[in-house]
Amino acid sequence: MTDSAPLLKVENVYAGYVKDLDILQGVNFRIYPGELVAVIGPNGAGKSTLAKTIFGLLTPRMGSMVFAGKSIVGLKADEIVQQGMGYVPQISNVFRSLTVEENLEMGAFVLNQPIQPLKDEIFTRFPKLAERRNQRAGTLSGGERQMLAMGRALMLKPKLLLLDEPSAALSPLLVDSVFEQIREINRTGTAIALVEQNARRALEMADRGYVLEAGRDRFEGRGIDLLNDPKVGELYLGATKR
Amino acid sequence: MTLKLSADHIQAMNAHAERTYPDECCGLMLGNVQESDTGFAQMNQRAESSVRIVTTLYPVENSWDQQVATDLQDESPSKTRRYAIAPEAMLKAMRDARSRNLAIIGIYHSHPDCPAVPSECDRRLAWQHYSYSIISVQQGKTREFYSWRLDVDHQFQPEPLVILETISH
Repeated sequence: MTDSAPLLKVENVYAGYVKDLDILQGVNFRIYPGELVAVIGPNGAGKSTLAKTIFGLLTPRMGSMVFAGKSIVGLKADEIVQQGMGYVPQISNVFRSLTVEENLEMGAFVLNQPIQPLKDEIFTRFPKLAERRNQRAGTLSGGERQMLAMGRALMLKPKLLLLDEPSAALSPLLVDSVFEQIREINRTGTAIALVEQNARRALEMADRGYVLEAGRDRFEGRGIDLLNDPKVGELYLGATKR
Repeated sequence: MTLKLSADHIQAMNAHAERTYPDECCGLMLGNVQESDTGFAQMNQRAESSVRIVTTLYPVENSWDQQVATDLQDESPSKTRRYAIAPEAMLKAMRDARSRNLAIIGIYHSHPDCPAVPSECDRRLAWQHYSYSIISVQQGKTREFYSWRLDVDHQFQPEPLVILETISH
């Protein structure tokens, strides 16, 4: 997998929300076509900031980001979407007042082609959404809302999907379901960068993982190797193995 | 980059802006882009020489409220200084545009008692592939109309206007 060119290559990126206060302090990150890569780390390590920076919601002060062979530094989110990247934020990720079907339709806003086949694909992938197609998104459960957010991002068939803490605030049962959906999406060839607080679950599922600390990539390796790395375990996964 | 629209379009936007004064008005501009830069695959090639032709205006309600302000991390709760387009309105316009083989090519809004120049908030929330037309309304009367587009550095630049008597649909 790593013999091919990276789909996304982030090098030495510095970024933050306030001038002269960088949350990301020289972070590096790569993901190859079709990979599932977890980004874990303690609170405040810069995981979500990394996702926002990659997706153009924050402009890096320094560093390079190349996606599908083109620099995306300085591009805004709408341009990055057109390059083939999708992003599902942790919160405010659906239009609450719109139905499930309408939310999916909004996901295809830039397309100048019939969108019914795309919606049908999403409904096949997420049967629960098909059942709820006429229900307002604001009335969905947390897990269903997360599925809808992912479904909407998939309407444009992205090469890479960035997921920012998709399991946040979900019950364990729903976490299982959401993670299974993520795995399924990845199996169809979509690369996934999974920013997760639930480090163990994320690494169990990931091809590779990055451990961020204080805005830098402190460890990088295969998911299984990071899970078994005592240093990573002590610091971020808790002392007791499941 | 040129925006072509009719005198009737400008008149309609002016009337909308005066009607909602002292609040900001807003609406969508539906139309076509010559040199086809609205196709998904081609959207990245920023067609500097593109001509955008407005065929239909889609006035919508300014739905800016406290919730929108909170969602956008903006401190202004007032429609006199901000505008928002509800997702329902956007969806309706998208459907209408698709059914007529048009695209949403821009957004217009008014600046009550302010020049027709984009604010920092306008810039922050602007999308690359839309034209942004602004109507200045002073003491309830429209005074100026300019259109803007983002450049590669995400700064607004004036967009040349071509005002025709009529636009053929």
